[in-house]
Amino acid sequence: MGNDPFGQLGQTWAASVEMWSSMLGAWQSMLQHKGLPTAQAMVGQFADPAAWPGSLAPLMQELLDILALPRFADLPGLEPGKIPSPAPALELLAIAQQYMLAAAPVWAAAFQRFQSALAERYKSGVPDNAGEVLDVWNNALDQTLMAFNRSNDFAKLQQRYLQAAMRHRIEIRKLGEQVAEAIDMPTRTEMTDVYRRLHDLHREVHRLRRELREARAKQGAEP
Amino acid sequence: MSIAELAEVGAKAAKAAALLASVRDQDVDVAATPREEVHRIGGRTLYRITPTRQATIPVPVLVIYAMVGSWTILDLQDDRSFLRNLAAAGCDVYVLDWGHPTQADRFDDFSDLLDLYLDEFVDVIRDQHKLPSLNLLGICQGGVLSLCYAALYPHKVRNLITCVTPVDFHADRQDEHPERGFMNVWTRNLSPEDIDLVVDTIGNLPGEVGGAMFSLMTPVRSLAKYSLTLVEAGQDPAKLMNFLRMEKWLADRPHHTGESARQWLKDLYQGNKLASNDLVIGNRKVDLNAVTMPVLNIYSETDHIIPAAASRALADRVGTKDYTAAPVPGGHIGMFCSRSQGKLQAQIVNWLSTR
Repeated sequence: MGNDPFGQLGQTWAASVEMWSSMLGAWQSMLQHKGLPTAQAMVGQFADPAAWPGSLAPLMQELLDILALPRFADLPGLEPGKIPSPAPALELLAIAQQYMLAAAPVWAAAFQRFQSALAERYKSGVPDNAGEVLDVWNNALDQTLMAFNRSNDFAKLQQRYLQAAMRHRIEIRKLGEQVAEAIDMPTRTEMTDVYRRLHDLHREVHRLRRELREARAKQGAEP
Repeated sequence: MSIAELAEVGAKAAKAAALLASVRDQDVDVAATPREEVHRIGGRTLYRITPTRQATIPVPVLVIYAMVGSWTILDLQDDRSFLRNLAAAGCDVYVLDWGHPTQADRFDDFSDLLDLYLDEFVDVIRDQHKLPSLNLLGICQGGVLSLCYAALYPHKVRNLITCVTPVDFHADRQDEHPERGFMNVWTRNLSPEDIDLVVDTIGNLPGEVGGAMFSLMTPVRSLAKYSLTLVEAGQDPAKLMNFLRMEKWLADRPHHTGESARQWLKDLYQGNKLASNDLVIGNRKVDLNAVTMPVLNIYSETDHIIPAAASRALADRVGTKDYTAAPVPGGHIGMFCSRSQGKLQAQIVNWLSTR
């Protein structure tokens, strides 16, 4: 064997093919055992739009995680991290649904408050004009909304909204940065770095100027 | 609604619409009192209100407004200008304009606002007037900055005036009211990590966030003004211009520099560190006991943005022996641009004239 270069080459080739074959096998197995059920679950979820916000996002995230394989130097990578995740957008959709759900009783409460306030107003006579009634309604609605805006329900929704809106922004920014890089424009990340350096320099200049001023003042005060 | 009423409302609306159609944005003038630029650092500017008479108060007054709104509310219109009236009452008035921060300013924190900008402006005025110290007049968040500056640089502040300034950011809990202290409640409902997420993601805190907060405080009234109030205002050109000036000011919401917004929301609104003397600015602790110069604290019992209790809390915390509490009528903004605000200037000038 040692004198058979073709045999050696063949052996190396066979080992390489075996490696690629087992790698493909691993891929296939992973896609079959994890990817396929996830994809199937996603397809199932598409049939039910009401469930999109809650259940589609985790599945999509799972799919992205499956694609996040180790990176090879000379092979094109999928880089799923660069693909914006739809999860925050779906979370925003879910929050909108939740908000509508929470707001429905608020309107009922506003009407109740309006009726009570109007009945109270009628005790001192019929309102002079429609504007007065409108004032009663505006006041009733304002009071009800103010109470809702301070409630725990609203606070939780606001918090979820804020978090989802920020994450959505981060995802959208990924796209923007890719476009910026493609057309040789500075990205948000690069500009933030520049601003940080500028800020540090500004502080440094200010400190040096102050030291210089104090040194000059000290020098002038000396006899 | 009777037909006669309907016709009357229709006629009023038509008159208001016709008047409104004749006005252009450039006709709506704010901050019209003559002033001169004295010094500028980046987007921050120090103005001096052009004196129209000899100042009776020998030490100049530097007015510091909040970063969350534009200082132009203090000079909204000729006959209700807080700055113009203060100058007319005998003060030499300077005003700090924080400008409109951009992303380039996002790393400016409280230390930058005080040590880099405010201190340099103070030094410029001291140099020009050859004075060791000057009078500071801080409004709302500007009052907080003035307090911190006075604690860190007490030798440069002769007298301190705080207006509608929050000190105890949790004092709203003492007297909960559905119309007051919404900002306190809203911010405390977030976690510190939420604030970090916002600042890390978008840099500066957008002015629109402040606008949304104010709308959520009184949601219907914020919108009703575009029907009932606007129609009423539209019956008289002068009233309409007043309405539009206020709208112009409300629409002009500068962004808040990111790092200082982080401190403002986390350290003050959530952590209440100013009241407990735990606030750290540029590695130095802000100790309110160091505020030993005379202090005039002006606040409103009906302030719906800064609850009165939050301002009153200053009394027990400053180190001065010359403390004056001055509750005044009016709302958080109204006290600076209402017809009766002349009394406020008189009160300030009287207080300063004896110190």
